[in-house]
Amino acid sequence: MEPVAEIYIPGMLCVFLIMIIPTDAKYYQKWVTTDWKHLHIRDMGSLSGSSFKIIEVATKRPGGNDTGGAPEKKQYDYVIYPETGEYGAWSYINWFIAWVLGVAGALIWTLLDRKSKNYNLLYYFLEVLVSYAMIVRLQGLTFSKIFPSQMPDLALTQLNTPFGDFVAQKLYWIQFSFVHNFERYAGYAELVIMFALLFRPTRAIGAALSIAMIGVIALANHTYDGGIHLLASFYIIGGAFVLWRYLPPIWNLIVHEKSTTLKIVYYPFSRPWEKWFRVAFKSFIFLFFFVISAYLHWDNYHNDSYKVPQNPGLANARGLYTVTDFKVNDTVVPYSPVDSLRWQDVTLEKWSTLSFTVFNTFDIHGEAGRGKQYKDIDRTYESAGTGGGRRHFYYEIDSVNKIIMLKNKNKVYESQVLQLHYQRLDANEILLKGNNEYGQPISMLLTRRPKQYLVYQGRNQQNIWTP
Amino acid sequence: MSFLNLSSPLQWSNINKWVLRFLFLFFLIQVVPLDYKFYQDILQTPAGDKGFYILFKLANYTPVFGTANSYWSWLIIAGIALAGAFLFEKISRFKGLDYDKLYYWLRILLRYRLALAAISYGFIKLFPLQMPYPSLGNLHTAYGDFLPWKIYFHTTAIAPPFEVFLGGVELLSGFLLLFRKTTTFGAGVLAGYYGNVFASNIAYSMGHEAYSLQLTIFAIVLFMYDAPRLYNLLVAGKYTIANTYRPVFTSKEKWVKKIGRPLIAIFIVWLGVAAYHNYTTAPYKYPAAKGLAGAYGFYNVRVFKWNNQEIPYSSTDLNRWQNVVFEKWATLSIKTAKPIIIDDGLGDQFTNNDHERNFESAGVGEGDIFLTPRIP
Repeated sequence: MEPVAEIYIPGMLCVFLIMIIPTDAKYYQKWVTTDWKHLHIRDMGSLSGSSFKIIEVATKRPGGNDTGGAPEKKQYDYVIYPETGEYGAWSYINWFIAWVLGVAGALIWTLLDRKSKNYNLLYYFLEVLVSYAMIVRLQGLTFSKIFPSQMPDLALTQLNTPFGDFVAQKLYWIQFSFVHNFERYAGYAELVIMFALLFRPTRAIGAALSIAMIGVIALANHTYDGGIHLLASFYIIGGAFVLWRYLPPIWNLIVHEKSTTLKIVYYPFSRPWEKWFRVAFKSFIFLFFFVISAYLHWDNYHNDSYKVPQNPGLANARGLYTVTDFKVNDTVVPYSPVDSLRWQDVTLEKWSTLSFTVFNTFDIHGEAGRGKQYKDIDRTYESAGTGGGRRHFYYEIDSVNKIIMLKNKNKVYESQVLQLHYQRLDANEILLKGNNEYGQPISMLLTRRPKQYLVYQGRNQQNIWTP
Repeated sequence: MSFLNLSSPLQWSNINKWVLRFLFLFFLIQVVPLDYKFYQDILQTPAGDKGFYILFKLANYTPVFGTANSYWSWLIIAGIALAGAFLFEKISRFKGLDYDKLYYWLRILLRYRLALAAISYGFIKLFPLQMPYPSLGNLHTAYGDFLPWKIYFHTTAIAPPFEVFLGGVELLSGFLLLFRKTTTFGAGVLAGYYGNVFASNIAYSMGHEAYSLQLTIFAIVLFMYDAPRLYNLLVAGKYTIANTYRPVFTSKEKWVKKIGRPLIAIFIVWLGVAAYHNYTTAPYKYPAAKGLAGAYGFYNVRVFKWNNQEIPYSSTDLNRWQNVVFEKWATLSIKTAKPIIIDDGLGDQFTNNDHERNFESAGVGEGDIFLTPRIP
């Protein structure tokens, strides 16, 4: 073996061990404390490992560090607030530490152990480890696309928000939210990668596809401030590492047109217990991270799509409403696009979210509407990253007294609470009376607008826009 | 079929010969510009600055026979190729045909055709022309009021570095196709790339479904040359015999290569310069004429009179203008509550007439009327 390989393999081993093997004791406890009878996709996430992290990269933007009600948020001793934001170069600080530690470890190793070593088997097992780490980290994204819950249906409020009033991250995600077959297609592509990485003969193909697909997603995450850039970037270095040893033979065969063979030493797994272990381990990975994960994601998609609030809203009230007869302090405020108090374009979702526009300046909800939240009020895919004076409120219905109690979904304004008495005049009209977020008495009449959205229409027919 | 033979070089059995003849004719008819409508179109298209429009069209010829549907055209072409593949055999001239050479020329045909498409589309992404940054009027239009294709275009366009990257991938792959030895890598990347473009064309009805499928097929056919060897090496893990075919060219063929190569090089450089020039002077999807100086912006319509009668703010009045946008170029857009029929075009035609540059109004609602005053 060449000298470069003698430092390369221990180096890579240290780097990837640090990056892959969870150092948090809580991870291992999870395997015992998990409620196996009621296994949830949330558990799949935490059982898929934890990435190496000593330094928390955070933001000072109001509401930006909100975890959406996640109960077990780990506290870090070191927190940095880079000026370039959470998605810039500083977000790779933990990777950098892992690489420094890895290279240092490898130097010490080779200094202590100066005998020439045969690292062939080590190389092989490291490749397996990296491949499996890529599979395990991908399954959640794969199955939440195959059962489209990663990018769930657009909310009505999103359909009625101007294109320019979304942050880039939001636009990147919701472009899948009205073309679920395309989302499924992306999910199946990821499933192909998972299968290719699982088997030795197709591992090189899986690694190449990882770089081509998830590597590009990593770049997209950087340009759109997407937020899962670290997870996605892992497939660039992981994929490159797995593919690396296949490249010289490929180059030889295709470019130099020389007959070639792979010179890769595999572990023979010749002893019976080794055979059994290999089969059992692979079966476990397949059963848990393919079959059970698929089932849980299917179940979640059908029963409690994790980004979509589940409490039903006012019955048969879904729609976009024109606001008339709006009163503040019992004084009528006529429609004006530049009034800071008067509501415009109220939408009611299938679930219990009410939203409206006012002409005023607000902090945008900082976090990205990701994660697997428990409570409806924390499920903010519909509202996070939306500006333009659009406000979103979660509400609870008191159907006896005909009152809805609203709470602002934007974490910056989470203390804002409204109470509105509702009266349904007919199928399309709702009378609201109560107080606004500043405690002023308000009332208004909502009239549902029949509206068809172009985004659900094809190009091969005549389409008519209505207000 | 031993086109997929894993361990030995291609054998020219009768079936393989027949398949190759068919493929050669099938793709020859698709690549060589025989469709008279193509020349009509070229003659009707303005040259554009530095000939950009013409060069781009030349790089993206695709035949449409009879009906306007490309898929039917392929069927017709397949019929012609089928007949040709049989007739070929009957003509004594072609009896001793060198099939290795024929395969080589088929690959040359596809390589350059695909390279031109990839490089031309690469350039209009490297210089973000294909998906230009959304107009101010479009940024003020509700998300639900766009046709799907427009959402896709705008979503890509708001991240220019990403669009530039995508263009870079296309360009690099296109360049790899220009060299025989790196063809497989370029073809492999483009098979995935255009396969994806095809899928997104279906999902968002972007209007270039057939063409993207055609490019995908070109890439797959090119990749198939080395695919069995790669399979044998990587998947089967066996000793793999490299390609042994080295073409020997007749003097005529040498001349074709000698003239063809510099021509292609000049064409590519020229196209790149022209695309860059179009991007920096007057991107082709938006009007070229400058708008009212210093007026660029989003305006609230505070006072509005209709027949000298003031109409107060209203989101439902059919006549009242609600807001107005002045673009940097000569476009004014207005929001009213009047229903409108959507422009179902794609706004990607080449024209010097600002009024016909309809990218900003294509596939978008919200009562936006676009007036492009022509400045003399």
